Amino acid sequence: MSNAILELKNVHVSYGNIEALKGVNVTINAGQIVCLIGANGAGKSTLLKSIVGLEPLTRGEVVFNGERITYTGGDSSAKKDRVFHSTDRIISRGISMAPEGRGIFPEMTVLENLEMGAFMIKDKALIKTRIEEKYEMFEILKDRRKQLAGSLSGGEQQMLSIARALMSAPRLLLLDEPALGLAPIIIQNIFQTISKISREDKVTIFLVEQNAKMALSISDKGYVLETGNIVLEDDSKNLLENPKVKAAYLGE
Amino acid sequence: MNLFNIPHNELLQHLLNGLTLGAIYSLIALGYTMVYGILKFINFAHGEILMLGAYAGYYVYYLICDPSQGGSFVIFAFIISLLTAMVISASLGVFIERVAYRPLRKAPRLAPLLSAIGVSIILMNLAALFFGTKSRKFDYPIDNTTIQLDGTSITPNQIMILAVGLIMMTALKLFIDKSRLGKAMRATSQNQSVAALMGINVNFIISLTFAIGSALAAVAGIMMSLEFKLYPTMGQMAGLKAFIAAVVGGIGNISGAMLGGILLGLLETFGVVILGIPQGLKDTIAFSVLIIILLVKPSGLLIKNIREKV
Ligand SMILES: Nc1ncnc2c1ncn2[C@@H]1O[C@H](COP(=O)(O)OP(=O)(O)OP(=O)(O)O)[C@@H](O)[C@H]1O
Ligand SMILES: [Mg+2]
Repeated sequence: MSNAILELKNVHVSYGNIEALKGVNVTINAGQIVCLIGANGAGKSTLLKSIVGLEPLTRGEVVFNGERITYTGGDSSAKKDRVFHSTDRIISRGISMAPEGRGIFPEMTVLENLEMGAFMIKDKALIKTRIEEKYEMFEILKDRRKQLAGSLSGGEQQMLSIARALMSAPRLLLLDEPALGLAPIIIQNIFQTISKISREDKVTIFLVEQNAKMALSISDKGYVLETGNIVLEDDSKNLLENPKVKAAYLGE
Repeated sequence: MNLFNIPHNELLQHLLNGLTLGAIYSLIALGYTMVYGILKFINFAHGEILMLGAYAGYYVYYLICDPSQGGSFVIFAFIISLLTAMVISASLGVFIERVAYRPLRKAPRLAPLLSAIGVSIILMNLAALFFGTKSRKFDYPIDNTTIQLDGTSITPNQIMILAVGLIMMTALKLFIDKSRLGKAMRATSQNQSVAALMGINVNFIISLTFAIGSALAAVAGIMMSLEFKLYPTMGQMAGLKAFIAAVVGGIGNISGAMLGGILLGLLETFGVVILGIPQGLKDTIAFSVLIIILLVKPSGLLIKNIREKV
């Protein structure tokens, strides 16, 4: 048995009669940073949403930490074998996600956003400690704590989104394009933080990125998604040297 | 004398009457606005939830006491019937959402709206069938002799309505602003799927929203039955007015619903005295003013320009 924390097996997702994921297999080992790159519309966000139950699978299976969290059943197997959980139930097993477009609550303060990240935690003292940790990690959030999150800059919102996703101390963190629309200097900052979270907090990270060079340089393993199919899967350092990847995603 | 050329004590009198009426509208408007905030949907059966809550309170009240006897037991019975009415309305609201709205959540916008209108008509007709169409009086639990204060008269019932309204609204505001579940409600209204990503059970939050809004409607229904009368269509006009009050305050905004309700109560009362128009035209005046407010501020008084999500 490998130390896989997350496995996607033959995952299919459809929007109406358009199939966005056409049988995707992904394995993520505990402690690693794994990235998923692909062009616009390849199905990257759909893949992350299918993990947390925000998009239903039409076929396939998701295994987290040895437990089936989603299973549509084989064609022959009985209905009772099927597993379907609502998003909050899946999240409660130790997965967290910073969604595409940050998804902060604009009419709530920075502090309230962080508190929402700790919604499942009842221990008030623990919540307080975690908030202080996040303030240490992102000092700007401390200065802005009373401010409405909608009034933050894009980069600040992204930091808030990541900090909020860490409030539940997840075992697996899903990040959907954390660098989208940010200035290069801020992007560097965000990627450094992601490495640091992986190193220091021992969180497994599944990172979706358009910025292939950055993503591959901080990750252990990479997947390339093209119109709903995984077309390449390798160690990130190999993908960085792969001629196809170079041509299509690194602009070399 | 003042701006309106009305003696001070009279002015105070109208203010008092307007606030009492407004408190009732506010309590109803909160239900519309809370549900809209989360589902972007107008629960047109809200007025009937109010009416059924009022009937529930009425039957419990007369089952356990004889109001003509007076005394502390009647007050106790009244409190029990108020609480029972709140619980029954809350359960009814939760039930209606489950069977008539939830299955339509992914359907086109018009479908749940029609479902709500259907539920409203069904409940109104059932009430007429079982309770009869004649209007009833809900007897006061306390001696309602008017109290004279420096030329202004106030009834104990008015004092009670104002006090209950104030307590309910303050409690609600504190709950939504400060409590864990209240914050989860706000989060859910701002972004449902992200709220789910926080581990919030969105369906539970929606049920909770219906429960709270419906319980407040039951309180309003009983207050109306005490001040006015109890009848199967009582939720119709009151519901419509409260809905408009919620829109004027800024639909989806809690403080806006409170403000809109109070404003409507005051407009109805003052429209008659200031302009000296006949009593029967008070709705015309009130609604004209509300339309003007909407023309000037279409999204309602308390809605900020919410920035679109990136
Ligand atoms: N809610 C939806 N309804 C219908 N089609 C959708 C929906 N969401 C995504 N799609 C389609 O599914 C495909 C994959 O979309 P997805 O958002 O997963 O792509 P992506 O790889 O994340 O793209 P991007 O890099 O632009 O974020 C696209 O063709 C898109 O048009
Ligand atoms: Mg995407």
